[in-house]
Amino acid sequence: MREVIRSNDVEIKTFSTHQIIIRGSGNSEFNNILNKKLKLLPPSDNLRIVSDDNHILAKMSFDQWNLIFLNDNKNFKVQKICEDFNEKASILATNFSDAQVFFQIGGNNTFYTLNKLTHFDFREKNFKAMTAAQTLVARIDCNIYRLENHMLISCNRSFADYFEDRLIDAVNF
Amino acid sequence: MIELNNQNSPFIHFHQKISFKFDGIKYFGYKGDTIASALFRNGIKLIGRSFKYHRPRGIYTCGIEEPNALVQIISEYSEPNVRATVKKIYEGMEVESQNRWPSLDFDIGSINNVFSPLFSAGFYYKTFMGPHKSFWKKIYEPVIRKAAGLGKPPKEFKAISSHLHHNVDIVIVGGGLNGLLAAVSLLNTNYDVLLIESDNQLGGILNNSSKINEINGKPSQEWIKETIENIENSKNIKILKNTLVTTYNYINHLIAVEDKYVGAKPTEDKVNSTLHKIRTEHVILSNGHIERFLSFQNNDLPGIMLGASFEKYICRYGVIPSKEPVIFSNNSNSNSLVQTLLELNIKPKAYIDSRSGEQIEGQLFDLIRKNDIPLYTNAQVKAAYGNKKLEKIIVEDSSGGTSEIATDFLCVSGGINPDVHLFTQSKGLLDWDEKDLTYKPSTPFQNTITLGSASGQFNLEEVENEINKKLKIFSPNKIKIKIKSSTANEYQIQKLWEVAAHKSSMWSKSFIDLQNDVTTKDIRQAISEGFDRIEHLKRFTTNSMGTDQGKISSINALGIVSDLLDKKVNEVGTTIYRPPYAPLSFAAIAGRNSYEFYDPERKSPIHQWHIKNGAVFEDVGQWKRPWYFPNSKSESMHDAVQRESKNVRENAGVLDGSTLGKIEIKGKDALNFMNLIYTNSFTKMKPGSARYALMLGEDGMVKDDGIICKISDEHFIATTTTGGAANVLACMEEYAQTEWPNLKVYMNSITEQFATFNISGPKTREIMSKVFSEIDFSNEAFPFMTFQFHEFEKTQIRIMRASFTGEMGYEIYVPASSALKIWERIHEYGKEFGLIPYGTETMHLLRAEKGYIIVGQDTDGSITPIDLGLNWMIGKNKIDFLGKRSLTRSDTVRSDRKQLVGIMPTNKEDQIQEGQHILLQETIETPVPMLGHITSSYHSPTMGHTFGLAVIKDGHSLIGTKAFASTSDQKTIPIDIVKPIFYDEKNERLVS
Repeated sequence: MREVIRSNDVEIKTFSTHQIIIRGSGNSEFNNILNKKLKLLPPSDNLRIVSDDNHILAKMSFDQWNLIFLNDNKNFKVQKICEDFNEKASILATNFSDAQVFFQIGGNNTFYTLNKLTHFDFREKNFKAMTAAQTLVARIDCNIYRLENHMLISCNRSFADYFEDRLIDAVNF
Repeated sequence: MIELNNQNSPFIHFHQKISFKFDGIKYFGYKGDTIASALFRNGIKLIGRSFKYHRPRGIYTCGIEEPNALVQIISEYSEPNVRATVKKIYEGMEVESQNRWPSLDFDIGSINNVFSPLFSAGFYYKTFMGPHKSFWKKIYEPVIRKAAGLGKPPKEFKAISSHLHHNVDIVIVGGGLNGLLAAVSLLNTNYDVLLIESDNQLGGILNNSSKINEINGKPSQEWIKETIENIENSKNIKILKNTLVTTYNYINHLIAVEDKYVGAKPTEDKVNSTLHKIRTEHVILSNGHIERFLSFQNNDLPGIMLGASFEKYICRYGVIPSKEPVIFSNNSNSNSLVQTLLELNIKPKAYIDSRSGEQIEGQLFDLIRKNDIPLYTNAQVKAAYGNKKLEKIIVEDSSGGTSEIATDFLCVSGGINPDVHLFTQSKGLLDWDEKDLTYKPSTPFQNTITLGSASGQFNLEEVENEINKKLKIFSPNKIKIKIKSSTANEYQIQKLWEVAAHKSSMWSKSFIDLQNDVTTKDIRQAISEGFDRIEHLKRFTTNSMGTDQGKISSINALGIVSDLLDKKVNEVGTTIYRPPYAPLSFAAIAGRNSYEFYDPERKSPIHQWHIKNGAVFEDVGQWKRPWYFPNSKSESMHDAVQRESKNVRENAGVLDGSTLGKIEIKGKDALNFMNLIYTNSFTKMKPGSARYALMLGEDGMVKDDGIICKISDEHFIATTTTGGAANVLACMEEYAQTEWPNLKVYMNSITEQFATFNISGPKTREIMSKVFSEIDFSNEAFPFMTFQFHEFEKTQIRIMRASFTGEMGYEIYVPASSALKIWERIHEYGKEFGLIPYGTETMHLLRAEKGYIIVGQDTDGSITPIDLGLNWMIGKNKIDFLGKRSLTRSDTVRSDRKQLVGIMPTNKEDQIQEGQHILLQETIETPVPMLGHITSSYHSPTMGHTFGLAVIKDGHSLIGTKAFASTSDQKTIPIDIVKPIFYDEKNERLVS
């Protein structure tokens, strides 16, 4: 994890981590497979997050779950998990580990800073802890994960430099 | 400095002197002064020249509604059209007057006033019609453009602005008495509230006038202080000061601009202004009212000002513009001005009221009599006279007799209007109030509540009732308030829109719109010429246009029009107030989305390598793609592309194709889905093979293309064009979810996950065999249009035998994190075989030689696969696919549709260019029967001349004939129409 900026009561770090995008029907068979593989029960409500020490599993739409690995994993292990999921024709699991970069944002001015870049409503009553969202931040598509103590934002790797510069700019200006 | 100070004003720091320059002369003001109040303090009244006639103009108001006092701030990036009545001074500020030459005092442009009878309403529309239409472009427009406008646009753009989004439950616009009370009623409730005030002080009328003495038994300033403290300590209310709400959009979306440098010079390294974008559930408009003026002869002279503004300068800015003003009114709003002046021992020189003695409020009448102020009732100011400043006025009394009063200042009040601009922007409806002679908010369109004078409620005794009643829906804290007023609570007004001219002539002017130099005569002329609809009249006369949008005068214009048409004002209607409420700068609108952040940038995983190796980039969508790689600073793009192309044909080259869209498709119905999405049939395709495929729109036109890799009947990987990646995925999702929900199939974008390297050239196999030594690249083991997965240094990669250049080639798909390592390895092993990197321009040249199309360049949304000669790609036995039905429409089967052909110049030294039109005859005679145009054109190092692709009518049957390409200098070049393939027609090199 690399520190991007720490200023004006905001601390931003960036990191890459393994991620799998899982598409499926969300039926009981699907849930069982996920539960068996991850020992996590997939959230049934849209945009809800469940997590343990090693994973974040967020339901991003009615048929999509994002599985984020919190600890270091070997690439081939993640690839193997993907392949295991893909044994079922009813599931598409795509290794997304190189596709996105993550930014961890914390501090008292987190929402103030982010609201320079997005219209998204971060108020607790509308964006509770352990929920996720997909929205535009700095005019690019991002996933936002609100965890108990901080926020994670992921964006496509090709935008990483631009997005990092925008975050720094938002903290400074 | 002339001593015209009211030291009682708590808002001016009289101990802090500030120097500033106006038109190069140094003056002093105090901290807290606006430019206008500081100029008054120095006895300056002439501040600008009018828009059309260049008449001398002074300060007319004390706020955002100002039509005259617009200045250029030289010390702030030369910002033009700044309201002197709003902008605060700071040490070293440099201000210039506008629209004058050579000086404000002596302005050559004032000659326009002499010719003013010629410049009446509609002058431009009627005058600049002839003698020939070319006069407009060559003479009239340049001259008018040079003469028009007020300030000069800044040459450099330096101001820094940022944007800030808010999501709240309630926005209160206006922090005056009603805004503060609304905030108090919502104190510590569960609502997130934003209170927005344009001034740097909350309090509004309580600061600007002596109208209210006490609130709940406390002096008004003490009450404000306590109230602000309570609000600031609340958990749910945030105050934004120095912030002007400019726009009230649909769904309670407001835009407001905050000036971050009030009374200080903006710096170039900090944000100067913030554009607030606010989404809310409810809006409370408590933004007060605007006083309007009166039309009489020469009502624009410096020294004439709105009465309430005069009082505001005294109370809010601690400056007394004149110690002997005359007051001219038709309503009770001027009462407090008399009171304020008398409290300072200033006796107005006269009080003129169009109302009768009985109509004038008793309290005011007594005050005037007691202080022996000359009173004129049933009277009107007929005219004002003076040389660049007011010197005397002519008063007509009830008997019709006139008298002359020498004075340097005239305070005018024509009544008050609720400030309905934001309300009408929100699409709220207005109603005319015949008693108060103004439009008032009636039916809101959104969740909008108006309070106080913004709602047309001018009676201070009703404040408590109104707030408690209108805010009831929020279950707020109940408000208890007792207001002690020094003047009558009831608002009274007598109708008076215009006073007939004292001495009427061709040059006499009673202005109805000061900023646009529109006179009441112009209004009459417009009506007589048939422009009797208010929106037409506005555009014919320019009344209520400009930066002030006629804030102090538009109702007067409606009154005059209603009298002329003998209609009620309600029947005349009002023009629509459009956003913004007041001008906001482009810097504020742009925010940080400028310069390096103008457009988001996408970079490939090996972008830094390209930079290190001197790539010149081109923008492809948001991607930065290497365009070409010059081998020295002196090598031109043409030379570099010729060199790269030749090298690929003779040795090998590698392109960073990471930007290509990539989509993974999986599900038990994936095969059916792919057969429906693409024109091709994938049923008989073997796993491990790849196929070039076309995607059509429902109209049968080519939408995208790419290569489909079949892993199994249940699993595919598709590539798309760089620009079409997102659209293709969206299209797939849409059809999967809405048209074919019965198909069990899912898809994910893997564009970002994998880098793609396209290596091609006759020596490619040798290079690949070295880079991936365990893989057998022989034709037998790895035939054309097949793909294989391989483990490479614990990473899974996919290699496909395919080519976009016409040479033998491979596409290597590598996880982005391993991309640089493999890219460098390819170069390391390729060096001995003459491998070079090449850019998109070379890629375009090579593919065009081979006749491969680029969707979006050789197609334009009106080209079918048949037009491209790609009939073989259509799965004719398929039951259905996207766009199939459209391919049999009468229009799509026409033989004379534009079709893809190749173009060769007959004389090989001729250059053909993209965009040139194809003609059948050599000479250009209008109308030119155009067959089509050249879509791609390059100089081929292999052929030694230019060539092109074109789409032309009935192109396929014209192959083998001669035609002509038009040039930009109206000449033609002879060309041969040929098959759209120029290189290795038999594909021998491709499959070698």
